[in-house]
Amino acid sequence: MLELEGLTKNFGGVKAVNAVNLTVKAGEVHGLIGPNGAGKTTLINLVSGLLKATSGTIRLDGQPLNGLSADRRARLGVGRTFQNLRIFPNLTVGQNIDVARSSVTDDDGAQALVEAAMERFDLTAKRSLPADELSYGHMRRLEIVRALALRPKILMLDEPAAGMNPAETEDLVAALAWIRERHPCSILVIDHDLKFIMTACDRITVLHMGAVLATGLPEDITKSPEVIAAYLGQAAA
Amino acid sequence: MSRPLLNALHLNSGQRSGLVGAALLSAILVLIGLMVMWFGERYHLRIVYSAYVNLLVVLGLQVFMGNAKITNLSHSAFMGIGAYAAAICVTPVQIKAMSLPNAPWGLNAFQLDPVTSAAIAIVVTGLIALVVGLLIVRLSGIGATIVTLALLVIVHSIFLHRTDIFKGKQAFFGIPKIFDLTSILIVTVIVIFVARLFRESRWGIRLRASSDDEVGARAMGVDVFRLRLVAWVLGAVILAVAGICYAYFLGTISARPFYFTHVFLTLAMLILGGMRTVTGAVLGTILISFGLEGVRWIETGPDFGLVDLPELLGLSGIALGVVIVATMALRPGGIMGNREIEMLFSRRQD
Ligand SMILES: Nc1ncnc2c1ncn2[C@@H]1O[C@H](COP(=O)(O)OP(=O)(O)OP(=O)(O)O)[C@@H](O)[C@H]1O
Ligand SMILES: [Mg+2]
Repeated sequence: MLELEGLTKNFGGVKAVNAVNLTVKAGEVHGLIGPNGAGKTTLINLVSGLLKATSGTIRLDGQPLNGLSADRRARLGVGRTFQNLRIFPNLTVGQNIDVARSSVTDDDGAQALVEAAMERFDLTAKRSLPADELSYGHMRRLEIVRALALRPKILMLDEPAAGMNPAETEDLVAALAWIRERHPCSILVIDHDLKFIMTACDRITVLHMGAVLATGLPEDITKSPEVIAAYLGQAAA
Repeated sequence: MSRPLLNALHLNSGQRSGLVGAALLSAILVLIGLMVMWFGERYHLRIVYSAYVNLLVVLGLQVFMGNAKITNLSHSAFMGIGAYAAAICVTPVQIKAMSLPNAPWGLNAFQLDPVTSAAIAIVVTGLIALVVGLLIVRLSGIGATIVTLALLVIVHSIFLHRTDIFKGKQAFFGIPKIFDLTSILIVTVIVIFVARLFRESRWGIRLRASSDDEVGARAMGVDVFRLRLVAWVLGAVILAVAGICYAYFLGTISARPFYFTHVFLTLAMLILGGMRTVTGAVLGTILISFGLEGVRWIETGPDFGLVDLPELLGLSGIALGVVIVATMALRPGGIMGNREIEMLFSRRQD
């Protein structure tokens, strides 16, 4: 379970993330939506430790993460993907995954999970290919499998459906369900594709100008007048 | 080595191909050495020996630069520290009484056997590397490189000005000449395996990941500073070994060979071959060593005099500069790029 309390990040005068309270429950798929510049990626960067919070606390299963380095947090169970891909281009696909896997205790369970995930995301046959020879779609999948190889407690996906066609997006929904079944963890997923978010997520939080506008079930979010005004209205227009 | 044996060692495929690659490179290098021993003249032996010393330096450089992707300019200084440390330990007391009469801390009052001396030199160099490494690994890119440059200059100044210990511009003589081409061939083979297995190890792969994308690697749990430090110290140890091999063969060392000229020469070797691979380090060293002999022959005619670590006179200097510029312009990854030797023999599997 991931708990954020009063999480704030200022960039100079810009409050990119502003007093955010957010709980991602154990085993939940939680959507994070909001217009461009709302602070979604910044929030993930704060949780994964790539940015230092101005104030507020971050707890994972009760353990405070503030002050820990990004690599410590990854080893403690914070897994993520990047909106702008950050694969290791000079390593093979298999080595990309091994980097994450070797960060945590590497037992038979980890082995089996990684093999199954590679199969599920169509990477098994590409194992010894240099990662920069993958297609864009497969690079996105590689990022997901790599983060999963950390056997995270919280898996954060930053726009995993970006650049995907409807069929691929549909498969991604199934893939999230597969992850949940194969490796029980909390998932926080950001995307602009509302249809995807509505079908994939148990609950949704709407972020607007760094602050939480609403949190709730997908059907409640779509009905909230504030959300419609601030975000859904724009998107629909 | 047979496949079942390799499988029994629980190595992953990268480490298996690392062993094969290291064995192939070793075979080539031993073959070159044997040819020279059987067919070469005395001056050939000296040329080839100094080429192998340079190869050790380039390998030490590759371990850090190639895996962490941070340009190091202090490598010749670490080679010098190793050489002087071993020389001070191993040189007989009678000679030191004469050559280092004012040495502090009783440095001229003891003498040790070559193996202990070498071990001390390696430990001393490793410890110095560890201390300065704590700073260097926290910087990235240009910052780290500038610090290594400063380090080169500082170490050189100490060699020059502490004449009571290092004899400065004069020769530090009287080191027992106990190494020959066979000795350095053995050392080279060991270092080839060390460098290659480090590259394919868990540490090597994680470090290379961080050099591809530091932020991505941190987010995947890689402790980047710690791994850089491991590679930095391992590289320094290999450089110390190179310095020891140099001192134990020539019997005489001075500060000059451990400075810019040598930094530039060995850097050119690594860049030409390709710094990301051990094969690149070997290939670059072989090509430039042979090439420089050709250039020197043109410069001086076939009359070979004293052979030392190569000097950059006129044509050689220009040739090296051109090699670096041409490599950077045409093939920034060097000749080998990301390919190790064994990949040239295996069909691509995609
Ligand atoms: N490193 C930074 N330095 C300064 N400002 C930043 C930095 N990173 C983000 N910002 C600013 O913070 C705000 C939130 O950006 P963020 O990337 O978190 O938005 P986002 O919700 O992920 O948007 P998008 O949907 O476009 O990805 C923006 O105004 C952005 O310009
Ligand atoms: Mg974003």
